[in-house]
Amino acid sequence: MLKESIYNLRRQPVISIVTIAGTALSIFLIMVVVMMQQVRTAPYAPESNRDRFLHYPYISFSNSQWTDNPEESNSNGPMSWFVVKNLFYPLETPEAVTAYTISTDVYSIGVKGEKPFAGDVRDTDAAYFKVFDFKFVDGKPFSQEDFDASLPRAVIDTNVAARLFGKQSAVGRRFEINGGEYTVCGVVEPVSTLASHAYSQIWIPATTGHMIEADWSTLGGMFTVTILTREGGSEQEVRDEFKRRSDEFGKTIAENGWVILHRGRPYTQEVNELSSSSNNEPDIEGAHRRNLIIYAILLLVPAINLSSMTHSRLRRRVSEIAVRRAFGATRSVIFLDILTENFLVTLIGGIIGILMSVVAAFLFVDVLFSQSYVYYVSSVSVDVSMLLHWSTFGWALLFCFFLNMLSAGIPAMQMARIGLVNSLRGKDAGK
Amino acid sequence: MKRKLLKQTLSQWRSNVWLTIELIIIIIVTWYIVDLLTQVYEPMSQPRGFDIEYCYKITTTIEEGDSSSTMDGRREVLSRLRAYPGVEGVAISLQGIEPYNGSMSSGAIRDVSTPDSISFGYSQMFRCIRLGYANPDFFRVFRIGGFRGESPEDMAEAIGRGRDKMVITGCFVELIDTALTISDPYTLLGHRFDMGGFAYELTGVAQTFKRDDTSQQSSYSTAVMNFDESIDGYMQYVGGWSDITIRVRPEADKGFTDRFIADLDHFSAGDLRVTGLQPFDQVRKAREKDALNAVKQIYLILGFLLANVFLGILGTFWYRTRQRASELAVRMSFGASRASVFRRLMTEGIIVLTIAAVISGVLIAALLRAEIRPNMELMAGLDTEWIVRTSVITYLLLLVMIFIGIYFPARMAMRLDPAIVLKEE
Repeated sequence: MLKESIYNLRRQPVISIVTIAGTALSIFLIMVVVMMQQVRTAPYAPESNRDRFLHYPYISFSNSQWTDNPEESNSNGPMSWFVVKNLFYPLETPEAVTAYTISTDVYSIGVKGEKPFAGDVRDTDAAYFKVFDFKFVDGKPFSQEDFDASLPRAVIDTNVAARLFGKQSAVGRRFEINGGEYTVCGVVEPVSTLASHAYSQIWIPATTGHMIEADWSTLGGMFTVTILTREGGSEQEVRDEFKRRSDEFGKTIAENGWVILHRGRPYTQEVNELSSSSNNEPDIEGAHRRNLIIYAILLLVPAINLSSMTHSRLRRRVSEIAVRRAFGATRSVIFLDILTENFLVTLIGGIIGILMSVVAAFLFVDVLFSQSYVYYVSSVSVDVSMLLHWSTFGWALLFCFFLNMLSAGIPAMQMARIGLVNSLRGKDAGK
Repeated sequence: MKRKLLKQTLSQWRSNVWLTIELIIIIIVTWYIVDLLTQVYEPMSQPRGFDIEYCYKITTTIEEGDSSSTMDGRREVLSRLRAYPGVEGVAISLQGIEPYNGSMSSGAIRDVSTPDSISFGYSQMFRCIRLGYANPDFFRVFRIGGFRGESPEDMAEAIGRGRDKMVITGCFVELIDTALTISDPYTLLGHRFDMGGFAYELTGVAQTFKRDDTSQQSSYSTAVMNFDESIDGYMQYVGGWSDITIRVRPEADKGFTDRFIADLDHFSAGDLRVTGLQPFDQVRKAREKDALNAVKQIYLILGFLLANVFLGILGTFWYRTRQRASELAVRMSFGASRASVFRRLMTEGIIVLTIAAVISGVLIAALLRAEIRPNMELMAGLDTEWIVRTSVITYLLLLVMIFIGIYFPARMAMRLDPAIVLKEE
C-alpha cells in the first residue's frame, strides 16, 4: 500500500508537491500557534510543576475612606510583604508557598574593584527553590535560616558565574550587587525569560534587598505569590483554606478600612497567562474563542485547497477504482482506503510542517515569543525541551487527522460513489 | 471573446467552485487582516503631540543607607543636571505619563467647582483619563504646547504657578464636550478638581500628547498636576518611581553622550546616583518593538493565506492546463498566439477572483452590519473611504497571488508544441 501511494504521488509531481506543501504549511502554522501556547502553559524546568501552580499575581483593594463601593475605586498591583507574611505564608494545605518580586530589576553586578555589568536580580524566599525546580550545577539554594537572618547569599546562573569568576568555581565567592556584598551559595543553569515566574539571573533573599520595604500602600508592594499544591492533593482544598484565611485576614485589616477584592484569584497557570492587567479579570472565554477561530482558519483554508488537489489526483484513478468496485469492494472499503492512503500524504506534509515549525521557533524566536512590557538583560530563548512535549506530537497528529478528514473526505465519498459502467468505459465520471 | 471565456469559466464551474469557496474565505479573512493592519499603522501617521529630538532619558539609582537630608541631595542632582553645559531643561514626571513609558495607569478626577460635582472617570465614561505629575520643564523638554497653539513655555508657566495647579489636554476636554456639552474647554479654567482629597486648579489646556506611536490619539486624555520640586513629599519619588529626561541644545548634541558619561560622577549627590543616559529615540524603538512584534504575527497569518492562494491556483490551473492541453493545441494550430493563450488563462483567474470578491463583499458587508470586527475600538473610524481602501488593497493582494499562481501553468501551456500534443491525442 505504501509503495502504491508513493507511485501515485510520483505520477503527478506538481499536484503532489502542491498537496504536500499545502499540508506542511497548514501544520507548520498550527504547530507554531500550539508552541506559542505551550511555552506559556506546558511544563518545563524550572517551571515543571505548572499544572500544580496557583498564582496570586496582583492584589486589588480598596478602602472605606475612598469609596463606599470598592468596585468603583480600587488600587491594583503587586502586594506588600505585610500581605505575604500574614495571608499567604500561614497556608498549610499547599506543599509550598513562595513570594518573589513581580519583575526582575536591573542592578550593577561585579567583583569589587572590577568593571561592573548589568544583571537581572529577583528578591525572593527559600521556598522559591521548592516551587521551581532549578537545575543546580553547583552549591545549593539559600536556606530559610539564611533568609530569616538576612544573610547576603545569592544564587546565580552559570552565565553570571562565568562573567564574575571565569572558569573558577563560584560557590563561596563574593561579589557586589549595587555596592552591597553577597556570597554565592548556588549556581544554576540559565533560565529562559519565557519561564517568567522563575526567570532571573541572580536570586537573593528578599530580606537582604530593599523591595521588601518598597510598599506603595499598606497592602500594595512589590511582591507576587505562587502556591504549589501537593502532588495528588486537591486544588479545591487549597482554595478553601485560602478563602478561610483571607476572611480572617480581611477582618483584621477591615479595622483600618481596607477591603481586598480577590476577583478570580488565585489563578491556575493558564488563567494567569491570560491575565494582562492587574485591574481586569482575564477573558478566558474570549481567548478560547479566538484560538478556535485561528485554528479553524488554519485548517479550513488549506483543507479546501487540498480537497481540490485530492480530487484531481483521484480523477486519474477512476478506472482503477471502478475495477475494484466491480470485483466486490464495497463503497465503505473504497472510502476508507482513499482516506488511509491520503493520510500517508498528510503525515509526510505534517512531519515537514513540524520540522519547519521548530526551525521557525528558533529562527524567529523574537517575533514568536516576544514578551510585552518586560525588560530583561537576557534576550528571549527557547530550547527543544520547551517546544516539544509528547502532547505537541499528539496535537500535531490530531490536527493531521482533522486536515485529512477535511481534505480527503468529500473527494473520497465522490469516488466511492462513481458509476461503474461509465467509469469502466473511461468517461470522466468523477467530474 | 470575453463572453466566450466567461461562458467557458462558468461551464467549468464544478472545478472552479472549490477555488471560489476558498477565495471567498481567504478574501474575508484577508480583508479583516488588512483592516487590522491599517488600524495599527494609521495612528503612526497622527501627530505625536510631543518632540523627542535631542532628548535623553537619565537613569538613576538610590544608594542605600544614609538618608539624612537626602531630598536636598536630590535637588542638588537636578540643579547640577540643569547647570551642565548644553542642557536646556530637566523634565521629571510620575505615574508613567512620559512618552513611551508603557504604563497604562489611569484614574478619575472630579470637578468640585460645579455644584453638582461632575465626575470624570471610568465610572461614567468608557475612556479612562491618564493622571500624572510633571514639573514645568516637562512641557519645555517634550515641547508640549497649548490646545490653541500656545507655546510650551506658556504651558510651563501655567502649571508652574503653584503646587495646586494642573493642566489638562484638549482631548480630555473634547470628551467633556461630547458627554456633558461644555462647548469650550477654556471655560473650565479656574475650576478645581479633586484628586485623592487634594484640589487642583486648572490653569491651562495643553495639546494632546500620545502614549506612544501606535496608540490612537483620540484615546488619550491626560491630566497633569504640578510636580513641585520644593516639596519633599514629591522629591522622595525621584530616582525610583520617576522618569527624568533632559533636553539638549541642538548645537551641543554632537558627542553629548560621551561628554556626559565622562562626567557621570559629577552629577551624583546625597543618595541619588546618576548611572547613565539613553537617547530617547532608543526608548521609542524599544517600545515600538513590542507593538510591532504583534504585527509581525499578523503578517505571518497573512503570508500563510496568500501562500494558500498561490498553491490553490497553481494546483488547479496546472491540472486544468494539462486536461485542456489538446484544446489549447488546437487553438494554437489555428493561429492563436502564445501570448493570447497566456492572457486567456490569466483572464480566467481574474474572473474567478472577481466572482469570489463580489460574493465576499456581500458577506463582509453583512458581517460589518452585524458589527463583527475583531479587536480595536468597535466600529470607530470605519467610514466608506476606509472600507473602499481596505477592499482595494485586499483585491490587489489576491490579484498578485493569482498572477503568480497562474504564471507557471500558463508558461507551460505557452510552451506546448501543438504537433506533439495533437499526435498524442
